[in-house]
Amino acid sequence: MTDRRIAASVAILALCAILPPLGSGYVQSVFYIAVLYIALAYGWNVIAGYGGYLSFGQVTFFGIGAYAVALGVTQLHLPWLLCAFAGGAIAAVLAVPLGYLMLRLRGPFFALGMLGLAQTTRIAAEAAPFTGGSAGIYLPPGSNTLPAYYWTLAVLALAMGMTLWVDRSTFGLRLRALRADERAAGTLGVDVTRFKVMAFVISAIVPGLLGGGYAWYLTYVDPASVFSTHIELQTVAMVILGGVGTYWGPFVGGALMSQVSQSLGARFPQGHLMIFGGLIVALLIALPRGIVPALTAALARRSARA
Amino acid sequence: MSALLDVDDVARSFGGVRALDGVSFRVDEGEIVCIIGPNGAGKTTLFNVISGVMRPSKGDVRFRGRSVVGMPSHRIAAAGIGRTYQVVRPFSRLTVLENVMVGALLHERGLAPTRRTAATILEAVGLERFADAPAESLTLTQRKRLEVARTLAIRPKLLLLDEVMAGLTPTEADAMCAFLRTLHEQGIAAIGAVEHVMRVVMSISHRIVVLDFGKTIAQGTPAEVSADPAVIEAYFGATP
Repeated sequence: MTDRRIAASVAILALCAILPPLGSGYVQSVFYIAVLYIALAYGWNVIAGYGGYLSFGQVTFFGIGAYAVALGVTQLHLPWLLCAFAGGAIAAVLAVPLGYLMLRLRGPFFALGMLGLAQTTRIAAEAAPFTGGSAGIYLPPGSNTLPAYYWTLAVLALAMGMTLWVDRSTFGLRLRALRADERAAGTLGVDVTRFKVMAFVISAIVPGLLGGGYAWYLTYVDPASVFSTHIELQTVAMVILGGVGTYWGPFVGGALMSQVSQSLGARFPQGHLMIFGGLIVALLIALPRGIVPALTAALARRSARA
Repeated sequence: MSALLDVDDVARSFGGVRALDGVSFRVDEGEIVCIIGPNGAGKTTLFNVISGVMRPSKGDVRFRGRSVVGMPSHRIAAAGIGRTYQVVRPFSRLTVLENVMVGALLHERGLAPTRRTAATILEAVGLERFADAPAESLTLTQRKRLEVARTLAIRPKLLLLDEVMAGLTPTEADAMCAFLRTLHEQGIAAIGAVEHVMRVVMSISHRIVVLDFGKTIAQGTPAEVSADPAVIEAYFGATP
């Protein structure tokens, strides 16, 4: 079963690598946004899906990655790819102390704490003397969609690989145990804090790496667009819709929602968020555990009947 | 000879309530000690303190001569204290086998050897048929056995069993007793917290500690304790 997951993932990623250059700039953008959100969803799924800590602030690390590229390219004149890598590394290093601090909170307190953290970093980016404040930073103009896209696709491959590893490792088993019951996991010898922080770091590296690609894609970075609550909520909704803590959930939820959201936005520029929100609510009432678990259950029932 | 576990004048209060108020007792290697006491006597709090889920407000807990107060619970588990919970709650969304694997990970590296160890333990408690079933699908009795199985997987020297007898039929309780005796034969000490089921307590305990309102009101062999006037008063009310 696992081998099939690897094969299917490689096939999908290969398809995503081949198709966009054949299409128009618009098609490339559509692919970029879809792959970006799917990768963000995979990153979020580790701490939230496997670890049970619903974070509303992973976008903090996305913003940090974006600023790493914006500042690295404009101030230090470094190649953007190097800066994008650095963004992931900075996110990982910051996530260790932040994880120890934030993961003391549980449930809604953790969710709100992370939301507060994202807002705090946004305000810090507006106030800092070297970030250009709320006016933002312009990067050298150019057609960066394809390079940013391939970077993002590579990060998606990494995120899917890490998710598979979590799914099949002793680390993942410990994570799922502490998601179910931290106290019992502790008395059974699981170093709960350490494994939670490890999951948090993985969930920070992914947006940290993606943020740099986003800066390069937009050629413009400002606090409101990279520390964006909208990006965060969209990511969270995608995983919940697809199926929290499953391997395919982020992919299905991310692919579906980024498409629906983009086409609704094009057709109903005024009311698209309202329609979109209504759709999510309706789908979650019909499939409370998400699309992937519902499909898996339906398939299991069918094979049981046959 | 030093005791395996030494609980020394342990107190713990919640706000103004003294859940534990100067509890002292010891457990020797391989010994089965039952903590008896009515509901609210402080048995679960005592277990929480020993297993590192809570810190005592006062006093010390030593395991093999070393204080475990302030140690995180996973290190206490690694030192050799396993505990079960009164409200059995297997890890949800994990299979029965995976539940046991979590404990077995303490001594094994890699999924495959962990899986084998866990399978052996499941067989020992008679749950091997349910290995791949979701843990939530087990009956209460089976869940209690799973609770013990996953704790045994950490290879404890001392097992804290919180109300493992509660809710069991007499036959099931006998099976649990037989199981506790096999633990004793393997040299594993056990502390059982028990509210009722006195027949069981009398037959398997080497020593009994009686708790009431957080205080140790008596301790000794089953015969000594059952003749103790303080115990009779706590259980049957004041004698005229």
